[in-house]
This record gives sequence, C-alpha cells and structure tokens, in this order.
Amino acid sequence: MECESVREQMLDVLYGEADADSTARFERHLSVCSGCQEELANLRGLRFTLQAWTLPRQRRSVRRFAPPRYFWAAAAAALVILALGGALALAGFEMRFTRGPVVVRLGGAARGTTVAPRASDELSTVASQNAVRTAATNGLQDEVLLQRVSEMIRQSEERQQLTVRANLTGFEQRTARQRRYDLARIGAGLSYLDGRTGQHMARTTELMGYVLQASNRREP
Amino acid sequence: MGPLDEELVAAFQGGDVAAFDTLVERWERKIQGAIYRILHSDDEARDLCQETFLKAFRGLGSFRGQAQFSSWLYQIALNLCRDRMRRRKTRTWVSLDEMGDAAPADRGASALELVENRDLSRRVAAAIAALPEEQREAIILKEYEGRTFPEIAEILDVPVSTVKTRLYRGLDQLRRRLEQQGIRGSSDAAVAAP
Ligand SMILES: [Zn+2]
Repeated sequence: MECESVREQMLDVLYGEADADSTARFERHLSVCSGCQEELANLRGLRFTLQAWTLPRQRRSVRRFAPPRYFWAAAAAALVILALGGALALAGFEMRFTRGPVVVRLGGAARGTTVAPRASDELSTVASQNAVRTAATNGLQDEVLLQRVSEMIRQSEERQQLTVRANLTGFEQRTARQRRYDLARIGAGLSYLDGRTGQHMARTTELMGYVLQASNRREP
Repeated sequence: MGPLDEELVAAFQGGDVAAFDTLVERWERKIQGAIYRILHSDDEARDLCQETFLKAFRGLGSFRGQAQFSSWLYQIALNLCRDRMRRRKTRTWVSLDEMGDAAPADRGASALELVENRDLSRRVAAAIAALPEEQREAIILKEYEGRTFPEIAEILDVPVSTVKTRLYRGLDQLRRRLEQQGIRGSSDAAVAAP
C-alpha cells in the first residue's frame, strides 16, 4: 500500500526529476522497504539495458525535404511575385497531376481582364514546354498534396479578389500579409513535392520563375 | 545556445520565414529518431519527418503557444505515426535487416561485443515494438527522447499521473519480456545519463 503511494516518487527519482521533498519522502520509505530497494535497482538495470537500442545512422530528411537555401528559394520567389503587384494574375493558377508530369499553368478560371489571359497563355506555354516530370511512384499522395496546394491558392485568390472589390486599404494590408504567408506555404508545398519525387530544387525555383516572368509581362 | 524556440516562432509569425529553418535544424534529428523508434523504418521515418515539418510550417501561423513548440511538433509526429500504424493494420514489426545497420556502440569494442550489442539492440527494439501503443509512446518519449514528465503530459494531452502509470506498466512489461529471453539488467549498473 505504502509502496504504491511512493511509486510516482520512485519514477521521479529514477529519471532525476524529483524535488527535495519527494526525494526525502521516497528515501524514508526506501530505508525501511527492501521490496522498493530491489524494484529501484531493477528499474535502473532495465534502463541500462534499454540504452542498447541505438538508432541506425540517420540520413537527414532535410536533404529531401529541402536544404535551407533551396527550400526558401521557392518561398522567396513567391514573395517577389507578391511584391510585383497586388492584383497578381494568380487567378486560375492551376496545378494538375496526371500520373506523369506535374503541370503548373496560369489561366482557366475566368478573370475579367484582357491582359491576364495573355499572360496566362504565355505561362501555360512555358510551363507545358518545361513541364516538370515527376516519377509517378508517389502518385496518390502527390495528388492529395497537389489538391491541397491548389486549394490554398484558390483561397488566397478569393481573398485577393475580395480586396479588389472592397478596395479598403486596411483590409488590403491584412490580406496582403495573409497572402504573403499563403504564397510561402505554396512555395513550401512545391519544394516538398520536388523533394519527394527526387527532383532538383532548381526545378521548383525555375517553375516559380515562370510565374514571375508571366506576371512581369502582365504588369510592366 | 541561440534564440529560444518561442522566439523563433514569434519571428516566423512576424514574417521572418527563415526562422522556421532554424527550428527545422534544431528538431529534425530528434523528431526523425522518435518516428524511427515507433515505426522501425528508416524510409518512413524520413518521410514522416518531412511531413511533420511541412504540417508545422502550414500550421505555425495559427500556433498560439498553447503548448511548447517542441511538444506541438511531437504531437504532429505522433499523430502521423498513429495514422501510419493504423494503415498498416498489423502490429509493428522489426525488420532484422533494418536493425542490422545499427551504429556500432564503441570504437574500442571487440567484434564479439559488437555482435552482442547489435543483438541486444534488436531484442530491445522488438520488445518495445510489442508494447501497447500508449505504453510504447511513453517509453520512447521518456527513455529515448528524454522529455520530462510534464512535457510528455503536454504532448499526449493526459495528466502527469497517467504518463507515469503508462510508463511504469511499459517498463514492467519490458522487464518481464527481456527476462524471459534471459536478458537481465545488472542491478548495480550505472545508468548512462539520457
Ligand atoms: Zn516499498
């Protein structure tokens, strides 16, 4: 009974987390209980044995996730796009996954400007010419991820359009910040995909470059 | 020592995206190691570690410090592991080949000692893999991740007393299983600092 009541203290002592009070309380019990003395010794022995489980040499997942300079390159590209203008032609920015190549293109959703479609065409040409080819091994998971990225872009775009309509400066500032964050997330999504499919990160940066190029032409 | 996790989180939320990179550098190895110990697969550990940080990246904007950043990361990783285990629909298993490339213990160890260590490493891994999920998580977080009891309580979202109960039951089972195989921790052995 008494032994049960000092069990928590025993664990604290075993892992070096006991404060002075509970250490004293446990030691008082220990001095008169051979059962707990044995139990503590056994647990110490067990802990020693458990240390035998070593990890294999770790290969860093960051190599596939994205080394810093690459990982943030895509996000940085997204930030540059943002800096180029609030009403950026990300309308209809679309990513498709068709078992083979991942295609990123602009255009698709209706947007009431005459300039945007041109930029969209340009981009979709460039993008399809340079379609990122990915191995289809991770097909399903990539597809799910692509859907998520597309959804993020769509939501971001909705906020953006809302701003244009409302034309309220305060709101604009807030959405701009959210948008910057969204775009950074999109960048991360792209680099993640890239890492997963074993592509060089340069590809992602290149891809973002196309978006940049197209938006540049749209708003000189 | 560098900035605290919480300072980096605040910097990230203030627009300094690179702060996240520092957090990745700081926690990647730990998280990957923890996932490995749960799933016993090097590939899956790297895969889910990536996924953990991607989720963290997505969610950090709305993270309000309701828990320590590290606890929050472990939570994400554990949830991913649980999903993965459920999808496997079988109990976790230990591939002998995978365990085979465990890092050698000591430079000075003899070949025989190396073989024995490797064998012991494998047996310990298998014994932990056979524990119920809750006990396994408690053991891994405490014994191998070196989290404090309050931290584990935060990660698992249960009271400290529950953490201790799970841990104790897990340790008790492990001791029995290892003893059945003739493995007995020497009772006067000094425990290496975690
Ligand atoms: Zn006792």
